[in-house]
Amino acid sequence: MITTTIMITITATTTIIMTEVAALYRLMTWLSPAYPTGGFSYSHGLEYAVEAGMVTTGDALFDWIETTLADGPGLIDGALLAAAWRAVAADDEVTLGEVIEIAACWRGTSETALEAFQPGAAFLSTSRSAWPDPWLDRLAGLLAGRPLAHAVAVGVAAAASGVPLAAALVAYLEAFAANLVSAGVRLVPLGQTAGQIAQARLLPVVLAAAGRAETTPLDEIGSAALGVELASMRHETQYTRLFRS
Amino acid sequence: MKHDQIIKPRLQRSVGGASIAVALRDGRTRLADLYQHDPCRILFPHDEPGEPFGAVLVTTSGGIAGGDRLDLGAAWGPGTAAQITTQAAEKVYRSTGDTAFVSQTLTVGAGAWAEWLPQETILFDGARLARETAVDVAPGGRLLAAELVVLGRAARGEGFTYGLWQDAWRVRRDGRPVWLDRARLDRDHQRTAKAAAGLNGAAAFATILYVADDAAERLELARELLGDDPRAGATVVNGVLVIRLMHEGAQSLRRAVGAFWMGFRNAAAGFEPRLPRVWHT
Repeated sequence: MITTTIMITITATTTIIMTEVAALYRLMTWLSPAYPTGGFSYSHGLEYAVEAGMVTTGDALFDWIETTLADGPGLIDGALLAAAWRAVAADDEVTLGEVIEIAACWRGTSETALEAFQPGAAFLSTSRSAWPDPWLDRLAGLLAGRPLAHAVAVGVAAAASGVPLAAALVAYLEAFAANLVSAGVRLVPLGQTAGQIAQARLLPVVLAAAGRAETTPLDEIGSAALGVELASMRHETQYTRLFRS
Repeated sequence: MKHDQIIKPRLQRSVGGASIAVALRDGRTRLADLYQHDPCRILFPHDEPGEPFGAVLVTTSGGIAGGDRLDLGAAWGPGTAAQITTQAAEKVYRSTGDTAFVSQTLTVGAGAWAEWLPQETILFDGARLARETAVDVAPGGRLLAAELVVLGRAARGEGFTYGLWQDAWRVRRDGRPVWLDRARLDRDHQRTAKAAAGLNGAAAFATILYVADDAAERLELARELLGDDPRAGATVVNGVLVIRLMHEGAQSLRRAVGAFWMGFRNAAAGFEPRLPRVWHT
């Protein structure tokens, strides 16, 4: 009897670990720069901030990304990801349709809208082929011509395949941060190590933003990152540009 | 929105509101409906030649306190032209914990020209304000709308070190949602105030929207009017022209918004480059 119990426990634990590892695999794949969403070509206004002399050091890069994540677009997209994840987990297409619409309208500038929608469409298209799931087809059907924000697409894919929300949020925001660090390293320019020091310092920022995105009601989410908005607007007329936002 | 829909039983210091509707009659814009409940009043200055119909909102309580609820509405009938402003800057007092809610509904009919230009809202240190402006513009209608916010009373050396500033926009075209935005400052005030990506040392902020069929075509006009001021920018999102300004204080923000407003209404609608008379007093 004792042996049986132990065996059951080991099997259950192994199953849980395998599920978590599979979730890790999916998140690392979907949010890797190698996943063909084209996210690397966007800087979310950072290119203007560097041009305008607001970001010239690794510390300033950390500060810029911290605000973008914790009190700005990162937090908003995290909350939208969470809302999409919950709608799928509850098998609630009506709510998911509302989240799609909110996420499509809640864009500060034309370039940050492109930054959300172009990778959103690419993520859905690639995932429907590589990671087919009925929910991805339902998502495509729900769009009805509306653009799909990347965060919503990731939230749907995560919930559909049993990836925990907290893990999906951390992975999404880590990728958001890493993309901006990479852009900053090229733009300022900074050494690779300086970039990775900023990335390491962003760990608690990402965890805190993920926690707030998960626990704050959507109608209490907003942005204090007005500098990011303005930078993104002014990027539209910047003379020399490497990035699309 | 009707008054009885917005009463919440607890924590209300004052519940009030006002709404105005204008309609075209005999080829002229005239008052069609008026509702006012303390502490709100609507005044009608004398018509000025060449200017659209004018209305001025007044809050007789002297300011907004935590727990207050104000509901403001304006409806422009098809083909009308009207400008609505406020008599003075609105003060939001330090709160002991409750949030003041302000709801604004702007409805613009086909072929109407609508100007919504309230004077600035000043948040005292520790104030808690949640404001939402819901906009719906019919095809052929044109809305130019602004909100100006000043954080803290600079003249007293006061900042905005705690409290809530939340300002949301919900924009629809013919009933269909097209743009959402929510500025929100409720934590980490000191860091955010200084952060380059945050408030970047500014204490006065304006958002101006132009919602119209020709919004995208007016982006270049907006950029020309803003010039190369690094504290201002313009963009077009989903057919809505969005202009943002950040300034160190109320006076320079008012000057910048005023200059933009005069130039924009002149170029886009052919009105004289003027501001409401109350803006000058």
